Amino acid sequence: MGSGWNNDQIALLVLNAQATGYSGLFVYSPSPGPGNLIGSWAAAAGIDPYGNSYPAGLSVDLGVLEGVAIAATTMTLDPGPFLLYGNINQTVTVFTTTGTFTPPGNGTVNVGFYGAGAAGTAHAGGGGGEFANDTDTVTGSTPYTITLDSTSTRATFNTKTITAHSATSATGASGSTNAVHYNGGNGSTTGFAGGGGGAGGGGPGGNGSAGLGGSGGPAGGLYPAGGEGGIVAAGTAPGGGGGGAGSFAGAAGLAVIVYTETGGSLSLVAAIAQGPGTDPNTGDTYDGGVETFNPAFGSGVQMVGGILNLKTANGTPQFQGAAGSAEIIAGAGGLHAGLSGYINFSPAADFTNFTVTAASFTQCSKNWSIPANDPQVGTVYRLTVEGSGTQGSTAQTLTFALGVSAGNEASAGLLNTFAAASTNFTFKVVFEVTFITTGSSGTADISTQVQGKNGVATGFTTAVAFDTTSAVTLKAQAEWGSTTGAPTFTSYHSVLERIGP
Amino acid sequence: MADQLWIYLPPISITAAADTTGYNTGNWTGTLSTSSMSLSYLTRFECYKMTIDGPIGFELSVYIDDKKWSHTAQGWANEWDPAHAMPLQAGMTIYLFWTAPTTTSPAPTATLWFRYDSSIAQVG
Repeated sequence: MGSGWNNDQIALLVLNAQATGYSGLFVYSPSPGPGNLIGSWAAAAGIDPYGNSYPAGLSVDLGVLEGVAIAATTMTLDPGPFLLYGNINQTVTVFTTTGTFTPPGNGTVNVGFYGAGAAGTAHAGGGGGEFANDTDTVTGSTPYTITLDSTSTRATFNTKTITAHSATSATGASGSTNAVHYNGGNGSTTGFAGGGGGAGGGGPGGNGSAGLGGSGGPAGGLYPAGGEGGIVAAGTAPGGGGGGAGSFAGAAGLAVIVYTETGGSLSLVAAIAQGPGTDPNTGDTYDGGVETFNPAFGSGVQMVGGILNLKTANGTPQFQGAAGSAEIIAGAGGLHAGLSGYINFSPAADFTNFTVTAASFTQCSKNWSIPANDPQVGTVYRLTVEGSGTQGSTAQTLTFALGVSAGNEASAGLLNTFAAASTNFTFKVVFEVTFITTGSSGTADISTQVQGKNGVATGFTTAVAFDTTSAVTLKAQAEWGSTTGAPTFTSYHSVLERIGP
Repeated sequence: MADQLWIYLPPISITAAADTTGYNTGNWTGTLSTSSMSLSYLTRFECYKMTIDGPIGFELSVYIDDKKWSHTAQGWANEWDPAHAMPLQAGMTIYLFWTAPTTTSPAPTATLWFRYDSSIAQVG
């Protein structure tokens, strides 16, 4: 350096990096030499005088690149995979009113507090609230009161009180002594009352001016930008002062608490990879594609080869609407949507053969399970069974019923004339279960309609009890009037459909 | 111009004290009066090197009497080895003004290295 001081600091550094030759910013450790290049910033890729290759642009070749946020047009996995680790014991809690923060364990908090903005008066805009940022330790299971009022937004943790003052006049709030703090902007007091300045976020709030609201301080890290001062309107949250001749209100304060548990471990939370693999450093495994992880049960969401896989803690993924309501629920058998329509179970058909020769009810379809809480009021489950058989040498009646936990319901019996003695026949039987009410004391109507060569029969039972909070099993049952003449049939398949909400 | 024949003088170490000049009130100030160096026989001499240390995070300004000569933003763990040495005459005072308040520690220290050109005619 020209000053003669060997360890100096400078206010401006401009490098004219050339596109050719050894030019740019190069960092070596412990000194320039082969294999010692730990970072570079060059206009073009090249090789330094020690044989180290460097790329065009910024290259950090050692350690961890730390920052609050990265904004990029593209990111390239070179070679990948991209494994994202996070402290699973870190939470962000936001308070807009007074409340209590109780950390689950010992740890630290980094808080961003915003004081409230002041209301404007007839001739002045309200001042903006103050912003304060600081850190402290907290003790697990200890409740800490977070107070947001017209005086300040404040809390006392283990060793210090963090305070961001609220504005009470046209003057922007100030007075915090915390590690980082910015004053709120002043409201205009001249002419047409302008708005107050917003609370500081990453920087100080701007002052209001005549007819112009002050700008909020910029966002900083996880902390949002300060609110804007109002122009003949209330200030915006957090901390914006109201403005205008209408005495508009200032905006409320805000408290953002970033809690990190002491000793909380890093865990794999997401992976983007060309193929499956294992992180050699942690042993975490991942699949190809995009994958997120829930530390409680491993993989959460996967998109691999165009297939979306969802895994949730209770095994029932839900797609939620804006209000948090479950719009689509994936049950054990498939999906069902809300009133917008229905999605059939998958698989909907079972090809197990069942042969019935007895004069007592015998199962003639698989046990179809309906997941707990799947039925809704108005939901219809339709079970269809088809097959063929041979009438006995002495013609017999044939009766079908739906087997449920309450017993065999909605019996429908074909007369023995439905098929002449010793002749072959085919049949089709359709059961429908229509839910009237749900819950542990739910009810449903059950109907049966059977067609068999020359005969038709129907059956109906109303308000059969179902506990829809537990899984419900449906199965087709059948019995011959007598075994005399050895009647027999075999069902070839059964199909279950879900209709309605 | 005749070749310079440097005569090197013993280095002088100083420790800063609370400012009494009024120019650096409340902060550490190092003072070295050449009048105390028994160099009145020299027409000119110079300080060609200086090492300093002090509280981390504070700056240092170097004055010759009431004129600023140099400044560094790193007023600790530093050394000054200039292309052009500091020209001095007997009677001048070198002031080292640290921006560090006297509540900070350690008290700054400096070691200054002097020499003179024996080819220059000296007084007496």
